[in-house]
Amino acid sequence: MSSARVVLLTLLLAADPSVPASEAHLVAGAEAFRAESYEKALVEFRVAEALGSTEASWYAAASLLKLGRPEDAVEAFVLAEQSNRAAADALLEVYRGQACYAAQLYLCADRWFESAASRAGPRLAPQLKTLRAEIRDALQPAQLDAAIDRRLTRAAELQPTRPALALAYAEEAAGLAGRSPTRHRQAEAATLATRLASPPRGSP
Amino acid sequence: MFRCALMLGLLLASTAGAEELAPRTRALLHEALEARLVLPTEAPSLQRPMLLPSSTTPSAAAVRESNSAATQAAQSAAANRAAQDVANGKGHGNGNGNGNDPSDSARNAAGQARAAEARATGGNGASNGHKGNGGGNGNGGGNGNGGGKGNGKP
Repeated sequence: MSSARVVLLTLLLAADPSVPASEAHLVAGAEAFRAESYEKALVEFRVAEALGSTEASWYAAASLLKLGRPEDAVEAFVLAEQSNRAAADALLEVYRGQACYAAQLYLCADRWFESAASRAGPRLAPQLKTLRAEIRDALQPAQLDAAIDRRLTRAAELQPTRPALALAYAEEAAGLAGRSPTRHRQAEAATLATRLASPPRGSP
Repeated sequence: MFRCALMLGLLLASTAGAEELAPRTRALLHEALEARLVLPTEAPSLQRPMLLPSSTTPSAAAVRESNSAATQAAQSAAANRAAQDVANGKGHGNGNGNGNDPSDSARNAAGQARAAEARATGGNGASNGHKGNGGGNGNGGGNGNGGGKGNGKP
């Protein structure tokens, strides 16, 4: 094949938006996920992500959850939302809620289960409703203050290196403080959450 | 000139249509997630100990040390397989042999993904303890093994 033809073929393929380079890896990731090969799924989704697919970030987050890494999953979901909010659907919201639930970020979980339930089918919606009721029952006022302390401690630990995850903990602490009869450390939690939610100075 | 045009083409190919997911791919992803969706059955509790801070806990550091090699090996193997498949024109499903998935880009991406995962793994030693069990650690996929991990049961 002549050089000109190679160039032409390459440009034609590049111009075809129906075959993005990341597509094959998303398919491979889906197949691996279905086969419960979550390590492989994660790598495939990360490759797709590196090739430009922002949707892949959501599926990488789901893979992290399945790998038993709920904190990493929570963080990945936050970052996925920042890069492509529109990619989420009810199913991904359920996975995100599960990640929060497993990380003991129950208000976070409740928020995503609520959102997903409004769009979920007749099989899933009642289960999400049950989970939300269990979360509501678990938020006992007598236990809130200690729970707030633990989440603020975790947020402070994570703040320097993993601000997206720290934000999730700070928001959870602020939410719990709002339910605390004494408003335990509410202002502190809210301030930290606000600071973490704000883009750092100098960023675009 | 030829090289410039080829590089431009490969660059465009690596990014073209990245935001436009084919309906078939979207359906595959949705089906996979739906098939493996297992809601938690473990009751929530504010009194349960939080996840161990990996950066400050000796046991987590030990777990990280003992598992990092295996984890990285597994991830390297998967990434290398992905890159090799692409380089060989298999293309993971849509492999039409036309080379529409530039092997250089894919190899780079695989390397970056591997490095990112290694970094992530290094930052969360507690979670490494769940690795190496085939990825089905408590999520069950409908087989009800739960495992008390709290992130997925039938």
